[in-house]
Amino acid sequence: MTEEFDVVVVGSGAGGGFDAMSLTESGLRVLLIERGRQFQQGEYPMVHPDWEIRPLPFAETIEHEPSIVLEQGSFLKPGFDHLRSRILEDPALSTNSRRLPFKYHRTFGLGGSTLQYQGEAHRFSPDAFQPYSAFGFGIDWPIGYTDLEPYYERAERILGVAGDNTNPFKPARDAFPTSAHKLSPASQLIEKSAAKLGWSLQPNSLALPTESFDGRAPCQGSGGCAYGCIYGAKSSVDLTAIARALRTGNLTIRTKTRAVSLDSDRQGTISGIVCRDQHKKQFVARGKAYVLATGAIETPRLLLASVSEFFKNGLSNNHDMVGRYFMESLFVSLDVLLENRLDPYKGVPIDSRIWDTAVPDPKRHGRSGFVLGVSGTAGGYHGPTSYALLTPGLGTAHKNTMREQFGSVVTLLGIADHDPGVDNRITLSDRHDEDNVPLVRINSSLSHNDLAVLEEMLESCRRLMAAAGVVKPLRLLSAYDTPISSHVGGTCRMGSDAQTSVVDSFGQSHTVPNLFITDASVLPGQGAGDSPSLTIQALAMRTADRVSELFKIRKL
Amino acid sequence: MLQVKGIFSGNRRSFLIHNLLAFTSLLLGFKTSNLSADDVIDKTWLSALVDAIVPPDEDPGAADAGVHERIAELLEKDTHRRKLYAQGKTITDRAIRENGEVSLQEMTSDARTRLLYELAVLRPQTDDQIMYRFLLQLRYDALRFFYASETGQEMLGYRPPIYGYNS
Repeated sequence: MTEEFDVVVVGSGAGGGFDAMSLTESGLRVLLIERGRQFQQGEYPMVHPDWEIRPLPFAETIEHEPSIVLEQGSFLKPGFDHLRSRILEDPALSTNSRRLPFKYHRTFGLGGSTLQYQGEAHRFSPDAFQPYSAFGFGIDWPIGYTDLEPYYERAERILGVAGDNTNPFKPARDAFPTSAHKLSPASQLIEKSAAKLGWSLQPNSLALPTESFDGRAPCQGSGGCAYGCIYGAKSSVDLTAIARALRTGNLTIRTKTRAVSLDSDRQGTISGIVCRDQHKKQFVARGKAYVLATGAIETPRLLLASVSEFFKNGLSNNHDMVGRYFMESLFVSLDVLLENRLDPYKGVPIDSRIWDTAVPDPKRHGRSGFVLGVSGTAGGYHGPTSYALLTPGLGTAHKNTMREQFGSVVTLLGIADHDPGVDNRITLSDRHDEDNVPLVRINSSLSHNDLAVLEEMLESCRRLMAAAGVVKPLRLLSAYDTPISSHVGGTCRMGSDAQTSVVDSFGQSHTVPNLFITDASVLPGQGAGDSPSLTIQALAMRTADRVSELFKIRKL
Repeated sequence: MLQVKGIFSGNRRSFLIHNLLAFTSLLLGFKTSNLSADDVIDKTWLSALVDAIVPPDEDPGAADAGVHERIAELLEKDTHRRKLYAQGKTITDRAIRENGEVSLQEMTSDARTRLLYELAVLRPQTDDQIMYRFLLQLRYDALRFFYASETGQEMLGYRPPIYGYNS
C-alpha cells in the first residue's frame, strides 16, 4: 500500500470506530486497520434455533492464536475463602491455592468488542473522575466530567441510547435519545427487595434503542447481545460510527489486516505501521498521525514490541509506564433460583442497576464504589443448553432439575474498580506468535481493599436475594479466584505527568508527538462499576478533535 | 465460566488423585483400548449411553432426540474424542461383565447412570482419570445436543429468540 493517509487508526472497536468517524467528518483521510473481518447479521448464531451450540464467528480466532501466555495466578488469601467461586449447594470448596490463569477473550471483527458487548452505555459519574479525592482510592484523572459531557451527549445521540434521565445518581441531563427499556419481571422483583434495603433500582442506560433508530430496527429483546445482534438493533460500532465514517468518503478500511509493529525515525516520531494482510503479505501503512485503539492488552503489546534504536524499551515507554496499572474486572455474580419461572433470559441482558453503593462514603475510605445489577444472562444461563451444562448431576435427577429450574435463574451482579497497582502489568514473553509478535504475560493480583470490596458486593447481593424471598442461591462466581477480562483497562494511562503516565488528557503520547491512544488502556480508573465503552467513545471523539486541531495549525 | 461441578466437585477429584497410588494394583490390567472406530460408533451402544445422561420418562430422552447420531458424527471426525470414547467403552464393558450384566443396552437408564457415576467418580482411576474425563465429555456432548434440539427445547417450553420475544 503506497497511499499515504492523514491518520492511520488501528482497531475498529469503541475507540477506533468513533475516532475514525470524528476524523473523517472533520475532513481528514483515514485508514482504519482491523484484524478481523466484517460480519453480517445472518452469520450470528441466533439465526438458528440451535444457536447455543454454534460457534461465535468473531471469537473463533482466539483458539487458533492465543496471545496470552497463561501463567499460574497469584496466590489466594485464605482469609477470603468464602469468596471462592463455586456451586453453592456443594459444601466443598475447591482446593486451589492460586487464582485461575487470566483468560483474555478477544473479539476480532469490524466493530471490535462492541460486536459482543451487552450495550451498556454509562456516563461515568463525576466522582469516578476523581476517585482519590472522592474515595481515597486510585488516582484522579487529568480531566473531569464536564470535559467529557458534550462528547457523552454526542455519543449517546449517535448510538440512540435508551435510558431514563431521572436517575438521581447521575448528573442532571436532557432526555435520552430513546426511552428506557421496561424493567423485566425479574428486575421488578428485585426492585421491591432493593426498596426494602433503602436502595433504588434504576433502568440501565443501553445502546439498544427502544425505537427504530437511524434506519435500524428497535431492540427485540432477544437477550443475545453477546452473540451478535441478529436484528441489527444493537448499536455496535460497525453499524453506527463506522457507517457514518464511510458516508464521508474519507474512510478506507483494511480488514483481515494486522498491525505487527510501529516504525519510528530519528525525530522520535512514528514513520509507519508494519502490517500483514490475510495472505501474510507485509506492507507499511503511512500517515501523519497514528491512533492505537486495540485495547488494554494489545495496545501495550504493540508499543512494547516496537523496539528500535530510538526507542530501546518500546515506543512511548521512556519511563517504563507502558503496561503498568493494568485493571481487570472486579466482580461478583450470584446466580439465584426464583420461586417462579420468569424467563429472565428474554429481554436485554442487564436491564437494571443500583447506584446507591457507588457514591463516596467516609466509612469506606480507600475502597472503590460499586454498582449492583440484575441480569437474566450474565451468569451464563442463556437457554436450555447453558442451563443444562450449569446444572449439576446426571440422568433422571438432572432432567427433573431442568424441568423445575429452567427459566427461573437470575444473576445478581456487583462490579467495582480494580485497585490499579503499579505492579499489575502487561509484559512481553520470550515466545512469539505466527506473525513473530511477542506473546504477552499478564501479572494481576487483588489488593486487600479489592477483596474487601468483593466481600461488600457479595454481601449486598445476598441481602438483595434475601429481601426478594428467593428460593436459594445456586452459584457464586467471583474475581477472588476467577479473573475475567470484560472491562480490562489501564496499561497506557492518561495523566499530566510524563513520569507516571503514557498519554496526556487528549490521548497524545507524552514522548511520541504523532502517536495517540483511544482505548481502555488510557483509563486511569474504571468508573466505580460503570461500563467503560461510552467513556472510551467520548474520549476517542475528544482525541479526534485534538488531532483535527493539530492538523489545522499544522502541528501534524 | 465456572466449571460445572456438583458431583464432580474439586475436592472429590483431589481425593481420587491422592488415593491413586494406593489403588494402583487394581489398575495393572488396564490397557489402552484397541477398539476400532466402528466399535465406538456403534449407534446402539451410543444410544444406550446418551440415555444414561438424559433418560426417557414422560418426556423423550436423548436417544429419542437423535443425540447419539450427532455424537457419532462427531466421533467420525474427532480422533481424540473417539479415543476417549473407546477407552470409556472398554472400561464400561468390562464392568458390565464383572457385574454379571449382558450389555449396556440391556440395562435400565437409571442403572446405566449409576454405573457411569460409580466408574467415573467412586472408583479409583488411572492416573489420567480416563473414566472421569470420559463421563465429563459424554455429559457435555449429550446435554448440548439434547437441549439444543427441538425435542429438548419443547420439553422446557423454550422458544428460541429467532422466533421473536417482543411479539
